[in-house]
Amino acid sequence: MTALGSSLVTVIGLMAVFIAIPTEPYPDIDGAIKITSAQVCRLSGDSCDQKIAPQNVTLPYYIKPNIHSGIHSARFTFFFDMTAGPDDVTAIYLPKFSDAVSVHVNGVAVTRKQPADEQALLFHSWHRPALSIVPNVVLNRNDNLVSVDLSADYFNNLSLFPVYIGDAAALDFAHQVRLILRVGMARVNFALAILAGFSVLFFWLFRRRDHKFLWLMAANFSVSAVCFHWVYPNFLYDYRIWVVLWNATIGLFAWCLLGFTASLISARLQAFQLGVLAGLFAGICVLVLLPDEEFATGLAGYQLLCLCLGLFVLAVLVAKREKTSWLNFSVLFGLYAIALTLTSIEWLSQYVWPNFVSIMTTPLIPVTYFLGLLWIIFYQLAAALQQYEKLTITLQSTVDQKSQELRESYEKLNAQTQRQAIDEERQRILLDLHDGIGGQLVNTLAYMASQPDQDVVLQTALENALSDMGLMIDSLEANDSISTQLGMLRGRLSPLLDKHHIALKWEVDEEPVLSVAGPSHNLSLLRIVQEAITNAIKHSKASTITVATERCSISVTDNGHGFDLEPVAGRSRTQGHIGLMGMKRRAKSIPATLEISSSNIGSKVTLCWEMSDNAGDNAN
Amino acid sequence: MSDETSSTEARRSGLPHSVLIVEDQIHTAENLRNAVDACDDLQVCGVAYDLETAWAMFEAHKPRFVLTDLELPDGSGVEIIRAATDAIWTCDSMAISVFGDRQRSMDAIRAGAKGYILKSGSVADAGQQILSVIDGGSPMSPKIARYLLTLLVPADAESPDTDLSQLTEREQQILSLVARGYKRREIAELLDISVGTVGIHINNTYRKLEVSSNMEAVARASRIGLI
Repeated sequence: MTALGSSLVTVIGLMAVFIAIPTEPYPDIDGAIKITSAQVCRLSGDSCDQKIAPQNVTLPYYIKPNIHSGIHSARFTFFFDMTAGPDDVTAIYLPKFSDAVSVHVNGVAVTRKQPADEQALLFHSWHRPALSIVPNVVLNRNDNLVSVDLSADYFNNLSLFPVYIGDAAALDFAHQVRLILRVGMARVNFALAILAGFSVLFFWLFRRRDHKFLWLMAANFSVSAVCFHWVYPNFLYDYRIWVVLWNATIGLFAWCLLGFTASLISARLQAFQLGVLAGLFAGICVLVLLPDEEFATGLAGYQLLCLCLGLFVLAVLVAKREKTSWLNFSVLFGLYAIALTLTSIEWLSQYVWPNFVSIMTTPLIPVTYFLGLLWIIFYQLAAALQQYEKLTITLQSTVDQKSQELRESYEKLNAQTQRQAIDEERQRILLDLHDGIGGQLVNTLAYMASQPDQDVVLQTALENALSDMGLMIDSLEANDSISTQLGMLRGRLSPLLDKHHIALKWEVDEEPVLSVAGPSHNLSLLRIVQEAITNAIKHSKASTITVATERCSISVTDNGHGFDLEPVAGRSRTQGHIGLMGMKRRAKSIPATLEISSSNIGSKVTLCWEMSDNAGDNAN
Repeated sequence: MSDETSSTEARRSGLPHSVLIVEDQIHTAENLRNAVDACDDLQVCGVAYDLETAWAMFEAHKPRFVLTDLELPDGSGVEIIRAATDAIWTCDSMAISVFGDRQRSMDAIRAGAKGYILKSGSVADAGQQILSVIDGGSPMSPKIARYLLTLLVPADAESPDTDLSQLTEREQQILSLVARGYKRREIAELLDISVGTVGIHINNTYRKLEVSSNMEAVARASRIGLI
């Protein structure tokens, strides 16, 4: 509602502006005199109506119709003195009048008999100026009587604007200018509207989803239909029907404007639009069927309806101005408002206060419309270009970003592949080394085993070297899992266990996890465990050895006869004792603690270390 | 790493299984030959010290079992293993390894070997190991089991997401126990299933490895543009 109110206020304000602009639409012309007063009487037939007294009036003067059918006429009479020289040609120039005109000077007709059809009652000339040459023979020196007879339909006003009489050459020029401005411009507008319609249609073909261009196209074609009236007012015999048709095109134009605005702001007014269309159609039907007495009122009413529709369109635009950019809104609002104001002025001039605005408003209406059209098209173009540029920039930056990411991931992949290759190569070299030496050791042991004399010390040394190498390789290959390395150790020790008929109880339930993990620490652990198990196998005379693990400990238990933990003073250090010292030292380096308990029913060697916080879940 | 040792096949036919040994270290080879010959149901049909001789003997004797070292003076024993896998007669193979190092064991297994025999330490039960493989078992070392757990459990998006490269829960359980050093008997006791079932699960795991390693090979090949 406030939108409606503010629109109305704007229109009234603009109207005030237009009213306030003082212009002289009918300036003096050099070499001619301007007639601004005349005596007017109503005509019945060919002579003045005796019942009504003639009046002295100032031009421009309007006569409202006083009949309800047919044609009403009036006669304007005035006198003038000759101004032109005897060699000059005199002419009478009527810039604006309504509707059909016939001029007599001193009783002689100076206007052509219009080639009116028999059926046509009037030859409408309201849209063009009239220039008549007055032959010198007709003219007196002074007091020439001019009578201008005007006729119009019962629903149109009679009007006469200031008349110029004088030098034909000067008046001819003014006449030409006026012809261009009125008749020429009318044709230009008509053609332009049709051209614009096709241009917008072409434009729409590229943006089919955008419905507002369809509306714009329809508006253009309806504008051309409206302009057609200015080009050929005498197109149809029945002027009443012609006028009704013309009003229909005005209504159509207003409806197309509504559609365009609705589409511009994406409003959901389809139902309303259909209703409006139905209303306009109904109005036309009413106009057609109206009896003659009401026809003038009917016209006024229908056009007022169209004006209200125009006001509504303006209000809709104001109400939803956030749907379009501020610039677009202000320009369109301005142009709409001006066009609406001009149209309202026209209506008011026609039906309420003739000539209350001195400025010529009629030619401005098409101008405003075409300005609006141009704006819409260029704005669309600019918006589209801007969007395209933005899109291109975004696209470019996305492409750049993705290329960069791709490049980085390729580099990472390359680096990784290289690292992997180096690691694999290193591993291969290591394995080759161990395998070569190991193979030689195995071969040597096999040879020694086949000999009759066996050197146990040498054999043991070689076997120890071989098993240590096995431990080393396992520490690298077991995925840091201590339980797996223990399992491999078990496999290597199986023959020895079988030889001594010792059963192995395997209780590796939990995965042992060192706080400082790594192959070297794991290796130290495994060496200690290997030594513990080997000691148990060789020296304890046990029947069962148990290997058990917890998260922070590994224990080797046997049910043998135990051993001496402390060397007796004086006795030479046994190999086993040295071994125990070595184990303790190794444990400390991890760091872990080695606990040994021994009795005559068995021994237990326990390795334990601090709990670690990090979850080392290599195994479960 | 041994299962039930009854080799009904040999007894039925009455003939011992022929075994081809390929080992370039002479004394090691003799040791192995003695160990295998000591087994009633096995007989060594030939000992080759290099790849060329190995090929010749392979073609000539068409052995039931091939035992081959991987590092040979004139090539890799993996070729013989592959030949054994592709042979039109029933032929199983195992690698001979010093330490059972993972890389070479995996190469051998991928080529179709059923595992490896350690030549360090005593080879006395080499014969038993061979017989258990002929029986259908697939010996698996803890290290291999640990490695397979990382290989076959799809943790990353790289491995193809078919069921073939994924382990069932039971298989994962058994693999974990093997990885921790448990023997099949012990696993069967712990999980309350038969030793035979344990063996079947381990065999299935090997088959999945074969499939997975095939797919891996395909993936690798396609990545470097061969396919």
